Amino acid sequence: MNTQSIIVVGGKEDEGLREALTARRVFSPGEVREALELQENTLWVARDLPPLHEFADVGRGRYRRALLLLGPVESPRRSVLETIFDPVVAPDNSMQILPEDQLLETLATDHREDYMLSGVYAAEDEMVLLYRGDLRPITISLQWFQNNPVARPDPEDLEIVDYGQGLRLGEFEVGTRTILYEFDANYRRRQKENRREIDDSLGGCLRRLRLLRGMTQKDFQSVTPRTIRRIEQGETDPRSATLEKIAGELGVEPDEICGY
Amino acid sequence: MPYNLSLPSPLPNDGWKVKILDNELGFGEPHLTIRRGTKHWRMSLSDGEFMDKNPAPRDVADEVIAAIEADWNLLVKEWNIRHPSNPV
Repeated sequence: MNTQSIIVVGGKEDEGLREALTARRVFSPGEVREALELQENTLWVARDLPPLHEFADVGRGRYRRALLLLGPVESPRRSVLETIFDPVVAPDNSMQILPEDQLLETLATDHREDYMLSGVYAAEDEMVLLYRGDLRPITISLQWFQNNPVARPDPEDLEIVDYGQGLRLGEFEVGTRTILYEFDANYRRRQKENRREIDDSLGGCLRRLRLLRGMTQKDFQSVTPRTIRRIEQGETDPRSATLEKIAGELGVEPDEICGY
Repeated sequence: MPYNLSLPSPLPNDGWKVKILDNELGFGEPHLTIRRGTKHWRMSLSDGEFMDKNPAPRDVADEVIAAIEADWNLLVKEWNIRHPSNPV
């Protein structure tokens, strides 16, 4: 689950942003200061920020404040923001960020850290830098991506795709899941816990055998697709006559189905 | 380049995608990936079973499953092309 709350900085025109993220919205200097003093990790989202001269004394503080800007920020101001926020992520010529509709939906999920929001390729270092939904960074050597016989990754053409579920490098695509599984032990543990047991029911065995034979649910001559679907989903126990017909079409004895 | 299964209308407009991805390091079992919005499901190419408890497999549209099964052999072939050291 998310361990940071979201703070939207903006006026009434950004109320939609706040609602989409079920976030706290701050606008006035007093509200901003109050939010800066929160004793928790926070993710700040803003189209722009008001002048920061009133917060020159704030510093980074004990709790992590990450800032996601939806518009570009010039270099001197970025440096100022980085005295308060860590990291500061904003789109520019090289930093790619998810489209806003996908971004908001991703931030609103229960595990926003399981998605990628943003990425950039550092050519000199041959490194891909990615930001997860909680703006924690992951750095990956280009070498890691180059183990595929079909497509060569082109890091100069980097895009976060499918609501942060994939990273495209030219014609090459890797799932966020694969990246996190490789680089985040906590994610790996959660995903292992999420694995299903092998389905040893009649339905599970039938589905495996059917696919082994290269058949669809519609390919049976003597049984309707609906019957096959219901058996496979465990919604019905077939009569022995039905099972015999199915087994016959699959080229096995009825009692052999559960061996698959 | 990932393999994108061509899905019948209106599934693409509803946001459904079925892919064989290029890089599946760390995952031994051959599988395809179904995506819709922020959700994804993995289906084993060995036995057609969903590999994870969540999101719930029942949330995948029957039409998506039918399209996958109709092109099952093609999907297996596309996996094997991309993952010759770990074929189905």
